[in-house]
Amino acid sequence: MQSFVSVDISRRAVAGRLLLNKILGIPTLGFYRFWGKTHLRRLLWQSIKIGEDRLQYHGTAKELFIGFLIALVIMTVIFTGLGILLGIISLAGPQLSAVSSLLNFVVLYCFWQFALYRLWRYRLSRTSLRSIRFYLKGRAMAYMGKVFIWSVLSVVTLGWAYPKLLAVRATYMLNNLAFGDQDFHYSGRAAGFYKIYWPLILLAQFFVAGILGFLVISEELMGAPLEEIEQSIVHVGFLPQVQIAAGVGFVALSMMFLIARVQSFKYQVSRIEFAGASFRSELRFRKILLILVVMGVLGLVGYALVIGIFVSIATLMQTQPGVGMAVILGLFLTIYLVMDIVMYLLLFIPLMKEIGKSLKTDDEDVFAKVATTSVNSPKYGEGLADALDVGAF
Amino acid sequence: MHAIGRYFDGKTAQETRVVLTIVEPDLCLYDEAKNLIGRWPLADLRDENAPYRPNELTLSHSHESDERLVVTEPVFIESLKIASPNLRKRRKGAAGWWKPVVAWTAAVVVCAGLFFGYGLPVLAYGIASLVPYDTRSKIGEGVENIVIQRLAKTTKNNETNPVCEGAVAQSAIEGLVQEFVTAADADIPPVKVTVISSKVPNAFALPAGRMVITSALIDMAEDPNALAGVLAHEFGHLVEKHPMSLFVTNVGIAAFFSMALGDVSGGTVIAAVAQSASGAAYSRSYEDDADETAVYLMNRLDMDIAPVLPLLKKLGEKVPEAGLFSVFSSHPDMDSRIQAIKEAKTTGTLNAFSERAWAAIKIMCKGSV
Repeated sequence: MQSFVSVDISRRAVAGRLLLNKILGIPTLGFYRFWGKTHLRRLLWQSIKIGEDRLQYHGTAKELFIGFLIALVIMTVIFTGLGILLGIISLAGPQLSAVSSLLNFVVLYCFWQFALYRLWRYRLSRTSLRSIRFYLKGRAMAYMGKVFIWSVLSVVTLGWAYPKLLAVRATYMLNNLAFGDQDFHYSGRAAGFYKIYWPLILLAQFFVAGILGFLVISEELMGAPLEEIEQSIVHVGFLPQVQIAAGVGFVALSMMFLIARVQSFKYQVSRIEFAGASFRSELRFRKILLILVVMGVLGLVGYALVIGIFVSIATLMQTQPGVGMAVILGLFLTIYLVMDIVMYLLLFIPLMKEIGKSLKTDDEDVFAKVATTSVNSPKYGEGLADALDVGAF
Repeated sequence: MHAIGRYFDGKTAQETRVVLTIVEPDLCLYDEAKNLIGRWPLADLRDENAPYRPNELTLSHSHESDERLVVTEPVFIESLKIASPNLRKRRKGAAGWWKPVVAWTAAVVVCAGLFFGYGLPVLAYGIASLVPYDTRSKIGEGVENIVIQRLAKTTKNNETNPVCEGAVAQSAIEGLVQEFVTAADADIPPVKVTVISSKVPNAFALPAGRMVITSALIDMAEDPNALAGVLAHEFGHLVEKHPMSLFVTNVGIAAFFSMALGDVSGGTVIAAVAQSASGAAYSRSYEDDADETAVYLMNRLDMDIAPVLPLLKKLGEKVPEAGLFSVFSSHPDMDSRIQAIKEAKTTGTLNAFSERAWAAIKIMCKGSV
């Protein structure tokens, strides 16, 4: 198998664009985001090369803006209606408040999934390679329904249905993905995800059981006099143990989750077939971990720096409040302007490069063998996603 | 001048090698058999590359067509840059592109108007009723504690408890509030009134039947019925569930503005300002409602509300009109409030508190600070 995807991106152009988007967002009350996003996507899409050809982004800011306006109308109507329904439930019986809270959460969760599917449908329909567009067929409503059912089951089964949820999502998304007149075919099964996720689910359950156990013990100690609690903690010495166990458990869980994510990505890629070509990903866990560690360390250093500045400002505020305020304002402005740039340069772009580099195919010319299709693409942008801030880039 | 380019026709992914020639005013495309397969007007050409790449052009000739032409020969690129003046310019939108923008903006304005005018107040009341008493009680208690702590700091008496105590005064105030409950025939949980020592004259209602009054306000009140009028006003807020409704309204406004302005591009600060202005508008309408309830209650209990007028005037002088920033002011214009209460004329003949009780109320904070 040969590599066929590379990421050739100008970090300087991306940083400049992100900075400009942020700056222009202030005087335009944030409405520049439709234009800003469009410019940014053009940069990101074109950085991805398949063979010697770059992806092209065809979306426009106007499409995004109109999509957003439509979404605002729909959401105002729906959420006003929902609010009135909740009000009626409350008047019918205050004891039903748990039901209405649940209803509220369900509606938001479903909306989120619906928006996510529409978002990818829009983005793919505005993406072309060698002048031919990608598409996402299927119905966002059906996707939402499937994901909702399996999400509920995942919660009910304490995580045991989660691999099935992943399988259902991947199957619906990837089997509806098309490039020109050719469809992608996905043959992954839930069993494949179970093989990857079972240790993680088991560990997560132990972890949750541990937390619950600790809470139950603490609850028992809650009523006891303070001295007794202190004595029991010092005497038995179990609190530090719990803390260490929780810390180790959290790190282990995070690592296993990351390993599982990398494995499931590789599994999904290996089960995709397109016009007779098969694919594989050689994504390395160590490389992804390194990117995340660098970002994490930098995040911690940045956090410590901000806290340090705040602490030193506290004394400055007493002697020279004007200067103190100026420093705080400057600090906030810097964080606002720089945060996204750091995230893109040190996290997203390195991840894109690693993922692109890892992809292999047995037929690198397969994407040159398709013709266009007459499938209708969505007219307007991903308004719902924008309003709900789903996948904000 | 000739050059070789890679042409994609938008119909298949197959690449066609083409020979390119500039023949003013067009760029001509010939296939390998030297057949002319396209004439692209030079004025319509755009370079789709982002960012700009000096050694490569990816050309398009209209927004509607997905055809692309990739040119990499440096000399020909230079010639094209000279011959095609609009290469890096943005394409104009099709005729009438603005119509859907205007139509949907109008729809949003109508929707937002209906939402803020009718939907949100109904929603806020409904959701406020939905919040269980225990939760409301916790919110009320939490806010009250914060206020008390803050006031304790402003009075620079961190050691002293700013809550004023006095059995006679406390029972007189709560007795009057109980009379309001009966007069209003209100089905509300027990009301807790806290009097705190502060130099700032103020009174406010909190979720779950809590009221806070400051000593400065009591000092400013020259007549028992002035304080009774204030208590009736705050009681009006409690009966109408205003504190909780305002809380929910603010969340609703914040959600709408955060949605409209976007969280990713500096909209958060502006959303907060917009929320403050809109929330204050609702708050002003709640103040009017509470004044109406106060007049009604004082009337029912045969107590004159007129003594509250000098108190309001003093408060008005203490808090200057907001002027340009009146949009952010949560209380209605003091003159219009005074006028509205004046119009109620004499609402009764009785005193709200006995002389003994009033004297006890007047001194209840003297030992606290």
